[in-house]
Amino acid sequence: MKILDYICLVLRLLVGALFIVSGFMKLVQPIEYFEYAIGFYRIVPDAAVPFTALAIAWTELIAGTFLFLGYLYKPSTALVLALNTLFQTALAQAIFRKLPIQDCGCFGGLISLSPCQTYVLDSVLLLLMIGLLAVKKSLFSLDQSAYLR
Amino acid sequence: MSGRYFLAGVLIVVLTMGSVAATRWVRGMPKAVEPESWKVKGDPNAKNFIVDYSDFACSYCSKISLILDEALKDYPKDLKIIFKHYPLRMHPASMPAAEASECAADQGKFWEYHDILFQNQSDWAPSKEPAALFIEYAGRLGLDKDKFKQCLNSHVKKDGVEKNRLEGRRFYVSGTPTLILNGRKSIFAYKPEDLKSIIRKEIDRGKKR
Repeated sequence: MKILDYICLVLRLLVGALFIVSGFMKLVQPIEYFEYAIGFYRIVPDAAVPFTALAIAWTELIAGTFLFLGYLYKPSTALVLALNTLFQTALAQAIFRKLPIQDCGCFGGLISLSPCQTYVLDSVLLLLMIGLLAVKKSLFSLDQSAYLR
Repeated sequence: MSGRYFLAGVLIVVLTMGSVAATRWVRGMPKAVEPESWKVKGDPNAKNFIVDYSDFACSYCSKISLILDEALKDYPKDLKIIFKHYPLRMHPASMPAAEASECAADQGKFWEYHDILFQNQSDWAPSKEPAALFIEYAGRLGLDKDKFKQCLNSHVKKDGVEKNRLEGRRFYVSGTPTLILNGRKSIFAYKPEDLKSIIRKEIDRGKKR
């Protein structure tokens, strides 16, 4: 039981850190760059692209930070899971439509992943997040802090 | 939810936003795409410019190239096109095609070669050995074939093309064609009428300023 708790802690930190890096990298560059990337998926109307870019990047960063620290553990896990599902849907339609996308645009200029590679990564993340959602409490989380309760 | 718990959440959000603001301030925000006096089509003094990150083997790029030509005819004094290579890895013949266009540029015929590559895309793009076709196109344009062949086989242009792609990566270019209008506005319209309308609006706005 204890080992499982520690495994969940490591997974929580990993998934949280991944979303933090992803959101942070998008926000410390001109947001137009991420807008270009979103435009390629051809699912968001032009007028909504700037808002979508900001909303995704900030949600990734804040929900990722919450998850990393274990604050609002369940809602933040559910939120990153919803984001992940959204990304998978966008990627799947891009792969299906054979859109000329070389780089998913997920991590700014930090890592270059193709839509197929990202889809596999997101599928693994999805399983991890479902696992995290199934856990009632997470070790060393702010939710468990006696001072904040 | 206790007051402390709520305050902790607010503090996390504020610190997160602060870390982004601080990083942007310390690093300084890189500028969006800037014009370069390189591979320019149209009036070099035109105020409006479109940077076109393109792949010669991409069918969308071929179509967009024709629409951009029409836009240049419509606004000969107000618009210029800046071409940037972004050969996609999914198209094996793209990199040699980009190199070939650079070899043609050495002999002063980049845009002519650009056009001939797009016009004959269905012939060379699926080919595993497109070099012979590239040399034939060079001959059609009256280029010095020996010089062209030497340039193509030596791959001296590969670094330059790769530089374009890396620059594109910095600007988050993730596919082709990526069109960036006046260094800040990305264009996602791929219907001719939509693209033309965006260009027209931007030019009209510039004239009013």
